[in-house]
Amino acid sequence: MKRIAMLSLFTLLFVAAGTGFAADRYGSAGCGLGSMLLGDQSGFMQVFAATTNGTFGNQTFGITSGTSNCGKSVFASNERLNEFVKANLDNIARDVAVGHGESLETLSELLEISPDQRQAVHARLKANFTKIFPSEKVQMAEVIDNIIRVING
Amino acid sequence: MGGAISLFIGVLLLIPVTAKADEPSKLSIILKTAEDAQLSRERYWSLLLHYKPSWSGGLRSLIDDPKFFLSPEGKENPRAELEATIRAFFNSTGKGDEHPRCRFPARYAWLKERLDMADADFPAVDCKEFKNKRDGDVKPKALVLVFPSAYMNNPSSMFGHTMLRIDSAYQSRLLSHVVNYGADVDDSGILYPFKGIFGYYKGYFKIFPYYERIREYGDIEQRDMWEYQLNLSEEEVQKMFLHLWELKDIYSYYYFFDENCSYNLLFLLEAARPSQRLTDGSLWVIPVDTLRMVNNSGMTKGVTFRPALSTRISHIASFLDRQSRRKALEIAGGKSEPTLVEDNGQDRIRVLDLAAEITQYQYNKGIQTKEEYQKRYLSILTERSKTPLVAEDLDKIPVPSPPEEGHFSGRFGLGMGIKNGTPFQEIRYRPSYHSLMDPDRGYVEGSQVVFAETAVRYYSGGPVRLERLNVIDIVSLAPRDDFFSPRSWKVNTGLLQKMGRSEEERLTYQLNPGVGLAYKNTAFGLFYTLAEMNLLAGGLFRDNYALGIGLQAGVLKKLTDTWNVYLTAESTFFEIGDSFQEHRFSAVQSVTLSPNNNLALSLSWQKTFNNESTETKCSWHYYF
Repeated sequence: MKRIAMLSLFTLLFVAAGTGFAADRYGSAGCGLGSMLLGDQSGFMQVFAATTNGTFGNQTFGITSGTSNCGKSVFASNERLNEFVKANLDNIARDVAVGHGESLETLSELLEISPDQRQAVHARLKANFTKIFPSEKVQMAEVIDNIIRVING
Repeated sequence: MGGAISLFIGVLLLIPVTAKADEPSKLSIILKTAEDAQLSRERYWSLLLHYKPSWSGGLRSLIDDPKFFLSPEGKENPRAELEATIRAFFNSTGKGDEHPRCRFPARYAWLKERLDMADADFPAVDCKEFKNKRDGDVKPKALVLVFPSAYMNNPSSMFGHTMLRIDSAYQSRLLSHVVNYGADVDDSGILYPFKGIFGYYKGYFKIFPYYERIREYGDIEQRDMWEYQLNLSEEEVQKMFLHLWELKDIYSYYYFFDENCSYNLLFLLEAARPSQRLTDGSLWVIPVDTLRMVNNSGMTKGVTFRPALSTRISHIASFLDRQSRRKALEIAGGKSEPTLVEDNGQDRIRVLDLAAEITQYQYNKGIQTKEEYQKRYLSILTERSKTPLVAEDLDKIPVPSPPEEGHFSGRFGLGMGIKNGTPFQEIRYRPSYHSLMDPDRGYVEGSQVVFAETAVRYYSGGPVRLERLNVIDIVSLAPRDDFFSPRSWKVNTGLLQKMGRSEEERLTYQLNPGVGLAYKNTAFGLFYTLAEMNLLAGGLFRDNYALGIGLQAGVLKKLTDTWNVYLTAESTFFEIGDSFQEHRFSAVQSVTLSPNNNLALSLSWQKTFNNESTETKCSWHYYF
């Protein structure tokens, strides 16, 4: 059975290759919008909130993206928050513009905004969208700081 | 008995202050206790070591990595492995996380419990990295089985996929991690399927942030995802994690059809709840069958649907007229400004939302550059942020039938009919998976993946003969519309009875790939046309083979939820190897009687080498 199926898949691949299914693009690196990075997938655990104790020099146990090249938020030192915003910046931007959504809820949870305050906070973020995302070149660390400024302002 | 062991060891441990010379005897007593209790024969030990009965009658672990075994005989000898494990817990010189106690925390926890011992009874080790990962990063609390639906443009994903999500105390599921078992494919050459089926690749367990998998499956591959919450307690989930850690950087050879992504996850579920027997065997493990098995085992308690980006786009678009849809496309393509959306009501919100999603889609596809994307996406969202706040999503996406409600993968069929005036009876069987005319509830519409379909036919007065062997028969009809422009394709290879210059039929090999376009509308349903190539081989032809090119067109229409009609016409012109034409027309309708029962009626006409034939057939299909 396996042998037959193998021959078949072999054929299938031949055809697929022949008709040119190109692999879709997996985003590109960066710290702003459109940096939807799908990191290299080697290593056992690609946790996103690395306990930052420098144990990640080890190649077999790398983390996906890391925020080290993206600057740090002035206000938020929380590594998990930085990681999340970096990897989900585009979805957060959409949710802020809309006024709700899973990524925005997550951000609020990481910012420890209590659930009963979130609706008001989200409305405020929506109203201040242009302060949070002033240009298309905005970087992830700025976004976090802008969000915190709007919430506290 | 546990009490006796504990008393025994307790007495034993009162002596550790005495000379070091006593240490070996302490170990030997523990070893003897384990031996007397026959711990190596217990189910949990078998489960942790992935032992399964071997061909020779003994046991053999499915794990292939020598690092996983502490005894050189460990792969085939549970007893030797148990002894070596206990010895290593006491004697290993490994430091910190390299110590066997840290490398194999599930074995350690189980042996400690079964021997009624405490941490203090073992030499002290600090498993720092393990604790950091478990208690700092992942914080396992609950488990969810995740099923991304089939992805037709990748042979390894046609049957869907399964992953295990580990939820923490966070409310947001985006902060969960997900466990994936997959082959480490370092090349993507033509031998890839060959290697995949014969176990050439090494399979590894890996852990990812969940949002990253959502991006890959939902945003890039456009696969809807199903999330099945499991009713495992936090304690059970912790047990699972202990075993998962043991499998870190450990490989097993990956076999596409059985030791695959789906099968290997089941070991983790068994480690969590050993009373479940999920890995006990099946030759053919398809992700959706795994899903059914877990569902039937009573481990699930609710399901969530996570639509892919393309599903969201189609859904928003379904509320808009053609003009508004065009507007959204123009905005996404940079040909119109989002500020120019006139309507100020809900449709304005929809157009902007649609434009934002399309921009993302096009960027993911490489249609837009990063600069174009950043500029357009932000200007759309800026405009969107000015619309009034609506508390909930405007248009909730309806949840389609979940995959486990679809028909079973195996199919058995009985048919009878008349061909050119001669009555016949037919038996058909295929182990997997889904064909265009099967009930489509729970499956991707317009997709067919059939392996090893065999039909045997008996004509009145003649011998029983092989009518057809569809080794592989895959069709992917993906409709194009304003937003998406996928290619449709098919490939069929196998044996079939064919007429040549005379009316006598002979068994002939066929390889028939094709590629083309499909569209869909409410009046006609799904319609398509494919350009194809056909290679035939057998004694019918001048040079024992014939190579031709042709065209196929078809319409697949769903008349009601349980009644489908499918019309196809095909013409092929053979020029190489032999010279002739073949024309085919067929009309099939199928009626679903129950999820696993259906009736099909087909009429077909064919002309090859100027020989015409007609066939009428009625068949009943049972899925199991």
